[in-house]
Amino acid sequence: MSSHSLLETQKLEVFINNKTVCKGLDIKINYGERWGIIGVNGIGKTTLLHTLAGLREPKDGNIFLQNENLAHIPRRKIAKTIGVLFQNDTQAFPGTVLETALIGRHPFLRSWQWETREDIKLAQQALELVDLNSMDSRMINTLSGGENRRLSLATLITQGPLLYLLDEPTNHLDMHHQINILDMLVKQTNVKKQSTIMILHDVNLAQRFCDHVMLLFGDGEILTGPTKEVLTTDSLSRLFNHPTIKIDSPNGPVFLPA
Amino acid sequence: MKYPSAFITGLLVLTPLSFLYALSTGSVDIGWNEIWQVIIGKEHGLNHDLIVDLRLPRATSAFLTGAMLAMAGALMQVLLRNPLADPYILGVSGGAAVAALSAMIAGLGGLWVTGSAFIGALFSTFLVFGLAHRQGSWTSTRLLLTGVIVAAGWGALISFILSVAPEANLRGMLFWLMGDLSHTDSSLLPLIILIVCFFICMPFARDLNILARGELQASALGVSVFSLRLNVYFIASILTASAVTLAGSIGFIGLIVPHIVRLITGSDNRTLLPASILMGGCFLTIADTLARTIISPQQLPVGVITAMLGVPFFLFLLQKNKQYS
Repeated sequence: MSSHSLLETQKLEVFINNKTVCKGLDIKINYGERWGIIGVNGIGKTTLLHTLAGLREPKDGNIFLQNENLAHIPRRKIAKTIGVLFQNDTQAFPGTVLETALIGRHPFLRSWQWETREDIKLAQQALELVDLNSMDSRMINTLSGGENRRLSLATLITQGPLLYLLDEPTNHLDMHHQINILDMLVKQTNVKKQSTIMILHDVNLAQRFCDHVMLLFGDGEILTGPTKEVLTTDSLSRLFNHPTIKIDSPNGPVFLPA
Repeated sequence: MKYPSAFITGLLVLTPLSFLYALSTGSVDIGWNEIWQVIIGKEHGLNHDLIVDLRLPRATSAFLTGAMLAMAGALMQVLLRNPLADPYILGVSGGAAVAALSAMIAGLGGLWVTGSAFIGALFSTFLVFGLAHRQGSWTSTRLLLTGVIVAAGWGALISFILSVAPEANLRGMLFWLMGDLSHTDSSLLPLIILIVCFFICMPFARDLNILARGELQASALGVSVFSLRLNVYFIASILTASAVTLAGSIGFIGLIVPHIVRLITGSDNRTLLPASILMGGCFLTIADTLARTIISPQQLPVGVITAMLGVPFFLFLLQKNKQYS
């Protein structure tokens, strides 16, 4: 076990609904790395992400967060290091935009404590990063799908974890905001060398923003490694069961269905 | 409309006023000055007996019942993540009613009825929990469906008991079912229960805000979801059981008071819980005073008044507010 990795899995086996998502998975995520998870619908990407977040137990194997077994760390302590962006956020009783962003401070506050001026400042800065400034007192049920998505990201940034686990962060976002948000996340996570693992549906976003990728083929087979080595027309054709071609653009290679 | 501290301050002022109203109004109207004489111990006549032996216990019971129902309702709505939830939704009052009515049929009275109601309520609580929790999965939907079905079962049993009950018992039974504050036992135990439950819940109030976002979301933010939900479930059930034991099942308060408070102060449980307690208490104290005086000497079931006041007030707030649009 290297002493420098942020998250490490040993012989991880994840299993859901009679399906093996991964088996014998050994990965090491170092500080500052950005990993993409790619695979077809229903292959178990979200299940894998939740397992890495400690939200469900693996069938076998171990996960280590900063060299400590994730299964033995209290939830509240995990929440100070790992933050999760879920695919959907629903709120039974909607609050305001600022209240929602402030929820990110929860793991850092004691039980009777109220958010301080400092916490509010953090939340407002995060809202500005996702382009939601001057919306503090809007009720969140009046936001659009894309605005809600950005608010969830702002909540996550307010939480300020070392490891960002993102389930389709660009869901509901227009092209401009897709690139903007991911650019912003890159900038944001470069500050303290935070790491990111994100499920992406767009191979080309992974190509552009991730230095490592995991391809989920099903039946427990996973291909992992540096993006340049793993993302090829061969691997992608096999992954999506559809022939793929590669075109060079000024921003690097672009993959398209043939 | 988001002034939680002003609203809570307002309710703190309203609380003694609602008591003054309850103490001064009735078959004999007693002036505020005379009430003061009783409080400082200078008056020992009829007014003293009327206030200390009759009106004060009744007002206290009304306040406590309203407070407990409103708090239980707020907790149930968060636990089930459902705005339609009320304290009775999981069958607590049904279990209490079946037990209490059975005691009445058996010719028992007083403490037996009260005790049976409490035991019936707790039995229903554990029954629903056991059924909903069987395979470790304990989702809001599963809990809700189990509770609603068990409540329906209790409903059928209540109808059965009413249809076979002797004529002489029927009126008492119906009044018990509609909620009745006229037989008040000691309010000390409910008062202690309310205070203890409040102080157990308040440190978790922020966790509750996050639980309303969903179980996984709450878990990812460091909330121990399982134990939190367990605590909330049993606290809400104990509060409901105490309220039902004290006054029968008074509808409407537990559903509507938390919503009124949400419309005024927002959904933050740190202000929602204390404000609901105070508002539920004041609301029921005032409603009960109206119920026993409005067509006196005839007394109305207090549920009639809570609905007649609450329905238009809630609809008015709902029209003016965008929160539920």
